[in-house]
Amino acid sequence: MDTDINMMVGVFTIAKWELLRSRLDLSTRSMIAAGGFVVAIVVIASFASHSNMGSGLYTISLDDANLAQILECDDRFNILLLGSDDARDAYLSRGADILIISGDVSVHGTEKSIAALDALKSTMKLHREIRLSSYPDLNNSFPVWITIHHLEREQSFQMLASARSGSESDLDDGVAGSADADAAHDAAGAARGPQAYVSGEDAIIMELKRSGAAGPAETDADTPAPPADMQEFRQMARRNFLEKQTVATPSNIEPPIPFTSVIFAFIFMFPMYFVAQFYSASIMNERTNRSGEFLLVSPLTKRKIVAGKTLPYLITTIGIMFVLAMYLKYTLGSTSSSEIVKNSLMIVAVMIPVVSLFLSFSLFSSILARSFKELTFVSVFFSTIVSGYLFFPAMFAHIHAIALISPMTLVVKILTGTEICLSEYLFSTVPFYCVSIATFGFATLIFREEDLFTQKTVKKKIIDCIELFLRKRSYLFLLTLIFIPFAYMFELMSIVLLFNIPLPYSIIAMICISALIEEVLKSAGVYTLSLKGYTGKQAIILAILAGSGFFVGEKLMMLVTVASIADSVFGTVISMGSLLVYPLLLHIGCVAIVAIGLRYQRYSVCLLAATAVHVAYNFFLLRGVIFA
Amino acid sequence: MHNILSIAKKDLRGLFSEKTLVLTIFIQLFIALFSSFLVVGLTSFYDPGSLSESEMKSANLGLAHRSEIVLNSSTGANGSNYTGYARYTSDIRPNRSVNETLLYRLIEAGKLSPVAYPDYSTAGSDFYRSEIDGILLVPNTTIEGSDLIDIHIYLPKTDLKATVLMLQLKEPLERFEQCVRNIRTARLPGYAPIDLKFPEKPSNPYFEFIYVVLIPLLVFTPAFISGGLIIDFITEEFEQKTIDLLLVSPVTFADILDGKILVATGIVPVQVSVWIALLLLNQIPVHNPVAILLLVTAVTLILVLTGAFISITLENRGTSQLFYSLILIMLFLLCYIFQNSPMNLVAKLAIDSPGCGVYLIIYLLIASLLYAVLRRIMRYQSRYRSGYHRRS
Repeated sequence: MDTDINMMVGVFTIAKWELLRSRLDLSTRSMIAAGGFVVAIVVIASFASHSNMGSGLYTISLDDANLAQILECDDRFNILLLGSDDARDAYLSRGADILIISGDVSVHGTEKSIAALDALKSTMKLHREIRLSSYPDLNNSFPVWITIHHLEREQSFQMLASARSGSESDLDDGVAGSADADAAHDAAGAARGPQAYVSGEDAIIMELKRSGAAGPAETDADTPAPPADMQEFRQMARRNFLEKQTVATPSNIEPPIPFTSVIFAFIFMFPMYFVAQFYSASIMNERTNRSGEFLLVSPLTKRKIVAGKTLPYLITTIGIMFVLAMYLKYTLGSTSSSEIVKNSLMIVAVMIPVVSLFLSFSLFSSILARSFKELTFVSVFFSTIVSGYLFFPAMFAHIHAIALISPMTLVVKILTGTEICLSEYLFSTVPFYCVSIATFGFATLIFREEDLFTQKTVKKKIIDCIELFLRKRSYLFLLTLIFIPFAYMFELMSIVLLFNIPLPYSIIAMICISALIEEVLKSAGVYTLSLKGYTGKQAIILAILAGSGFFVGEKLMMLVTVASIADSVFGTVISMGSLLVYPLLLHIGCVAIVAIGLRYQRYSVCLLAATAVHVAYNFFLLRGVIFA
Repeated sequence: MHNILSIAKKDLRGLFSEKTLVLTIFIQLFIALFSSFLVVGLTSFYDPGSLSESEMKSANLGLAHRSEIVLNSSTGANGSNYTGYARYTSDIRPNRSVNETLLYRLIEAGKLSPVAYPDYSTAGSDFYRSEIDGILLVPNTTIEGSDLIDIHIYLPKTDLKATVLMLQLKEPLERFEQCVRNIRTARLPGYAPIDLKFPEKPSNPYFEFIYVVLIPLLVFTPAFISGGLIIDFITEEFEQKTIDLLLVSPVTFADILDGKILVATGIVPVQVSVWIALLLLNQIPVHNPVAILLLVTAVTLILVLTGAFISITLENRGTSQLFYSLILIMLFLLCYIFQNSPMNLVAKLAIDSPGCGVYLIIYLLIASLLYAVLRRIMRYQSRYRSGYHRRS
């Protein structure tokens, strides 16, 4: 109890110093200036609703003054209103992209000219919609309405996954099983059991019957319905901007690519960048003017110092997140205050792991960096990677399950009022929690004089921190276990990157990349130990420790997160199904290659050899998917 | 001049030895990869022909009658069979079978080949068994009537196919709406549609995205980074107190500054030309590369001078970077509003639109003006004068 209090006091003292120090950093004048900039940004942003990006791209020459007036509204066009002969001349010899003479549109065959035609079409369509909406008679101006419903069904990815399981059983039992899509599909159906099969199907049919039977007049209250009159239509047009579209006219249907979720993600990540900047600058300051030395000689442990220095920043960021979440929820039309608070708390719960990941990376990189320049790049590098990881899956928030990789998807879902469940939360945040805790841990290990105040290279410092961790050789088991979430995040990241490559190739690339990542992380500890030297027998022991640590970690990670993605074919590449003995042997074998090889060869050579073995094994397992 | 070069050499060496330049390039490569994720991913939505065979084979769309139909959309472009839809304008009636309705024919004319189903349960089971990927209930409303025509579409949840199908359905549905409107808008008083005859050309929906967003962003990323780089160059000297050492050597503060500005600005055109070359390799032609390089260099100089000014005033890295990012955001937003912003100019130059020359010169003038102002400030601040003057 007493030590607990002591510890807290120590942490809070450091936190208090940190707060005082960072306030002194900003003089009153620069505070005011910064505030002024923020105000200016807000003011400009409020004007920026109308984009001028891409203005004056295309040139249109035409002879119709009426049409010219309509097209003027679109900044993309330069309008040349001329007599018909001059207009034709401008089109033929002076580089106009489009010619319109008495209603006839002509374009050049160039890509630009065709793009201009597209722009012209969309402008005319917009004009038509606006004009029609000025009539109060909805039934005649907007006669067709589309209602979109979404039904639960298995995903196509799962078919591939079961194709894989087919080929895997093939491997185990030696039974030749056909892995074509039909058979695999039947297997998937059978796996769910006849009960689930029937009820899933029935549910769909019942849903169809329900809306099929309902006449236009008797649609019930919760299902979205076309508007009853023009006034309602205009209200809807306003509302639709942020919501997932369910009812619309054909011309107004937007493909469900929610750029809005990227905007949300941006709003939340923005404050994080700044706080992380200040945090790493503060650590760097302790290093450059050596004031950190006083902290280190104080009776506080390293852990308390790090915790104390982190706490103010963590709390500030979370506070900002909470306010932002409340504000966004409010502007999105939520009125009940209890709902706003509840949802904001949920958003904060999603954001805490993200914030701590950001902070842990900035701590680590500010210890690694030798100069401010290096720090800038290391931290920009980390934040680009993390924000890529956060941003891009979130774009597909309402489209694809892969979006759940990013916690931002959950934030978007909460903001738009979709329920999220615990397994989704775990799936997207557990890697963040694990990685940030581990990174904080490693950073604390090298938060000591030898690493803070010397010009060691980045590689040397990383080796230092692994070496400090491996107090006993048996800790190697724990080390590789801890590396699992790192491997997991890197691999998820590569899924995002490889998502656009067509299916067989993306899986091949994925196999190679994940094998390399896993081998690097597994052998990092062995490499560190090899610098001190070990015997051949010890090498085997090390390999067994590292390999089994990785194996156990892999299975643990699967238990927590597998539910959402294991059915995807990418998921199977990561987890490699439910086989037990072979992966264990594989992991141990690959580390053994490195461990023994390091006595004769360079690290990179051993690493490549181990990766090659790993890749070969994975190809053998997945041959059903790849060559089908 | 010699002094400036030696400072520049020192900072450049620093950049290489700390591998920061490598990291910069890596960051840019990363951005490029992600942009390709965006472009390729999004384009494939609009042009399912670019999707892989296996993905498209199973993307079937269903159109369905309000009482009795569903459709199946295996790919195959049967646009050639399309005979014109005007003849069918009156065909939506409850007693017709689904494949005689206008909607069915319109969809058939597109890239989808619909399948008619006799009842809900077959449609539902086929949907569940992934034989079709969407169901469309065709309404029992007549086109000539005055009731709203209410079409229900059922799509699989969280599946890319839903998006692909919706995109493929959009055009037939719009044509359908147009047909209905052709009849019904005649009842609106004083409404006459503007009729333009558009030539039929296949288009690239991401043309504008690539030129208006992607290229300007790629081209200016090195410039943004350089602005931050100069802050590090300068504040580092202050915070590590090496500035005093430099000043007792026969170098003036202005020389030091010039050297640093030279490095920070000079590395940008190199990176940008690599970008442009890469885009060319990807069959995205970038017009006026020289003008773009000039413009980017001018903008880089403006940003670098801003960064230099901030860091000389504040002498502290954290706050300088904060102010720089705030100013950067502000400029970025201004780009969004201002018609002839550098971003837009790059887009126009790359796409070869006329009327950029004047603004290019204006930006070059602004850059040199800023440089002159900074030099002047340096001259009047005695604290930045070196102890030794070699000037004649």
